[in-house]
Amino acid sequence: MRRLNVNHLTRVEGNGAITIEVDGKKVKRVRIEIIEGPRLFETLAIGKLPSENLNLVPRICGICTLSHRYASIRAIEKCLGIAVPKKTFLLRELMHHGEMIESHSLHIFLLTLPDLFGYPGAPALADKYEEYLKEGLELKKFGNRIMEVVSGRVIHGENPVIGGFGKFPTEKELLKLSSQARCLIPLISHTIDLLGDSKIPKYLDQETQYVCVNPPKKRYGFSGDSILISDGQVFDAEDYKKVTNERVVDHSYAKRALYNGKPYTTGAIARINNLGDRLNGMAAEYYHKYWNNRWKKNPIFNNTAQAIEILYCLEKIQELIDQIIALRNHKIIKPKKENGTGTGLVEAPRGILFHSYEIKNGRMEKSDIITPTGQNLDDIERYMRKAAEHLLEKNEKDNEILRQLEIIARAYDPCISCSSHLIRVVRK
Amino acid sequence: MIKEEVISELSRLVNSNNIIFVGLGNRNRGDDAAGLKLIDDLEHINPGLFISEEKGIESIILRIIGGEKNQKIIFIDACDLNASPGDITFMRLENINDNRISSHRLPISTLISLLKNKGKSAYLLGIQPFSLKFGNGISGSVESTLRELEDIIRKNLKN
Repeated sequence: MRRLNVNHLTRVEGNGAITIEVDGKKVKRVRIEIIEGPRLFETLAIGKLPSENLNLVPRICGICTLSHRYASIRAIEKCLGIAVPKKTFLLRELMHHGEMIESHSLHIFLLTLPDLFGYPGAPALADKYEEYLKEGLELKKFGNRIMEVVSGRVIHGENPVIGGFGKFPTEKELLKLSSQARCLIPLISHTIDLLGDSKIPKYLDQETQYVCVNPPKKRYGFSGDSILISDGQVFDAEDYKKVTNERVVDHSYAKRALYNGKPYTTGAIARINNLGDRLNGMAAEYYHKYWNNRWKKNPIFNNTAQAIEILYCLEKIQELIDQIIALRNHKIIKPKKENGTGTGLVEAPRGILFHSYEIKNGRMEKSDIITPTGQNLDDIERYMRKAAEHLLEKNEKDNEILRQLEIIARAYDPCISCSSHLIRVVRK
Repeated sequence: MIKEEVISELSRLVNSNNIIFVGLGNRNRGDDAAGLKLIDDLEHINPGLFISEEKGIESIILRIIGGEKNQKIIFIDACDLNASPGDITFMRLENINDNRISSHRLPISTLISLLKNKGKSAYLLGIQPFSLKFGNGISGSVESTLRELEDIIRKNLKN
């Protein structure tokens, strides 16, 4: 028996490790160990005012900060009976699309492309592929700028509040964003071609289940009040536990999720697989150009799915801004009640995010937060097992096996402590 | 008072004009704003040569990888030198042992490796702070050093 270890998953947020126990050519056990300490945010929220909770929970993550804020706002407003005007809804969508661009471009250009070009990391791209480095940074900068304009800051913006916005961005600021979005489309288009034309090994192919938010009116998007599964089932947001079925495992501080007793995947690939036929414009053209049935079986396609989503966002942002500037600013909508329950659903860049609360006498009584990476972990382990079995059968060296496992981890863009460059192989 | 050898080395680099100053820090934390303040005071002379952290890491990288070869990048920041407030250090940054990984920040070692790939070199102009407390302004001793640095840079850019 011997163990293959990735002791420090790098380029994700937090600390994680991968351990594979091997007996001859048989894989005995695959474990992703989330060794980051418990965060306790759900407990910290108890007794707080909803507005305090709203400032607390985005600190769960510095990358998907606005996804947490948006999910939290949606849950609180359900609890307190607040219905916001269309302008606020559209501005929240705009900020959320900005976060999606920032996060996806960080992942694609700085974390994934080095693998594709055979470089050890993003700085080395400056050697022969400086154009991609520059394009990634331009897109990331643009995503940040949207968040800054709408939410007030690049990270942990406080401008989106319960019932509206502290301050509405000006028409001039919004029109500039719209114009920039239009100019950036060629940058992502040729990266979709690069990723779409790249060869993805078939040995990883195996069926899985995909879970995402079901945006209303048969639209593509990142928010909604129901959950869509790749088997066609739709669940109301309040029934989210029927989908997630969380459990604790002994080797990790992250809870795991199973739907129908089986692992599932969430994230860009789940959205594209479940909702891709709802895309419009150039994003739809690229979807039809590159999507095929293998996308339902292989998580590496998540990279291309993210690139298509960046294009979708750049197109959608222009549409959102046209709608936003036609609407009047409004005052913050006050709560109608002090008690209630509600679940806020949004798609974070890495997948479906749940914030479910109970508010009693104007204070947080219960909080349940389920993040995408926790939901993906069982499926990541399953795909790693499949890869390891194949590579051991082919007598690949340990370093190559571990490199391939890093690529799988990276494809999921996990929000724990990303892919793996600091590797040690322990033989027993 | 800034030491003569620092004035001489800084003047030589600035005089080449193949240089970019990058101001780092936090405007809300007393003397930590030193790097940003120096950029505020100088960028109107030639905006292409000065950039602050507040423009975002992406803008900084785009600026520094886009310039000419052999360019010198000078990072200005508050630095605990175990010295008197306002004292400065000026050093070339090489082989920094900083491999902290975060999706929020680019490790300085990674940035230096990027600069090396582009045939550029990095320097640190570190200023000993008096206080980094929230809400404090820049202290008198650090302010005085900033004025001296501003004079050196202005004088040599003109040349």
